[in-house]
Amino acid sequence: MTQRGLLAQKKGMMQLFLEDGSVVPVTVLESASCHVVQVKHTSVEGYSAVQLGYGEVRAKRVNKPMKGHFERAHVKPLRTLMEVRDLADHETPGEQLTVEMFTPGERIDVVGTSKGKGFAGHHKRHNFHRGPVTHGSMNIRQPGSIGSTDAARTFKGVKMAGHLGDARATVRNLEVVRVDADRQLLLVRGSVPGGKNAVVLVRNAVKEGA
Amino acid sequence: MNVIDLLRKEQEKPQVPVLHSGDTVRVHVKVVEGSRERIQVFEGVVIAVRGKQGTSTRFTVRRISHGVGVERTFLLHSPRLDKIEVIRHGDVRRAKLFYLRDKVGKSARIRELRTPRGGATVQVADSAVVVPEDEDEDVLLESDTASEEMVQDGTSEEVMAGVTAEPTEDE
Repeated sequence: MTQRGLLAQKKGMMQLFLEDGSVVPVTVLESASCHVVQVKHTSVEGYSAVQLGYGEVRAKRVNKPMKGHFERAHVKPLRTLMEVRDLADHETPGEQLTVEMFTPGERIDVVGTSKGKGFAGHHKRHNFHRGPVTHGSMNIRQPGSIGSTDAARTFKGVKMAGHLGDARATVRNLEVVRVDADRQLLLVRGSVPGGKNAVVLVRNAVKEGA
Repeated sequence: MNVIDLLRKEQEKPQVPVLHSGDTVRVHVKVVEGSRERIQVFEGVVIAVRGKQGTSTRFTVRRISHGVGVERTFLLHSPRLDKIEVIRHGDVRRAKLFYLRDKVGKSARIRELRTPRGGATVQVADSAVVVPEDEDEDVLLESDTASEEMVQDGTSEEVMAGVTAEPTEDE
């Protein structure tokens, strides 16, 4: 179950030398200004959740209702807000969340919005195989059958070409390689959804070892 | 400078030699054997330098060990490398010397560069700069070849040299 988490900004990827000389691919995540903006309780809202905010903006950038919302939590206006269910460890509005909540070697999940790929074919979107390239083949990147003649219609949900990416994506069980408290950086082994400067949710692994 | 560049910078060694393909180098590699660590020397010709300058720079060294061509690729800034000595600069016209794989014996030699390249001095980490004036070709290598050499059963050197064994070293 989710207990700890924060919002962070993806800075990019690099290679990191470990003490034993091996090289690991890491994603650098920065969490300079992650605050708890609102806490929702089962007794009031009907469910338990925490609203997190990331990225300070000028006061001019937010409208009056939002200004009041931030003032209630005694935080500066923030650019991105995200609600996380059952974040039991952070239930103080206004609390700043820092990367020290994670320790190197720990497993985490990263939730973000994947890069948009536009209208993608079957190949790319659903990992279909391609057809034969030669011998007069006319179906190199065609989908093949989309249903039987018996049904006389195409069922809903059949995998076809369409929009790919720009959707919520979670990468589970990534390893925290390094925690840099001075610069508020998390170095995570492997890749993370989204492009550079994308805001992602980092939380403790929900299904560790899975 | 952004965070990524800063982190990369921190990983770089303060001084690394400027390597160019054709250079003959002695690479001192840290090898862990059980609990103890020792230095192994791999001497050969740099046949390729890849990647942009920084932590990801890789270079490939080729040598003929017991009649078998052996190539090893190192990361220039790897902490596994104790030091890199540049013994001589070669006079080559190519950035990648893969043609050496097909050459045997005399034709696999590389002429030495008369004038130093761009006046670049050879800098080696740990201040152990060794640039011998005389070229003693017959540098006796310590018993460091044990782990690199391929099985060789009495075939003549000329024949075996054509066979290229390439143990890729992921560091």
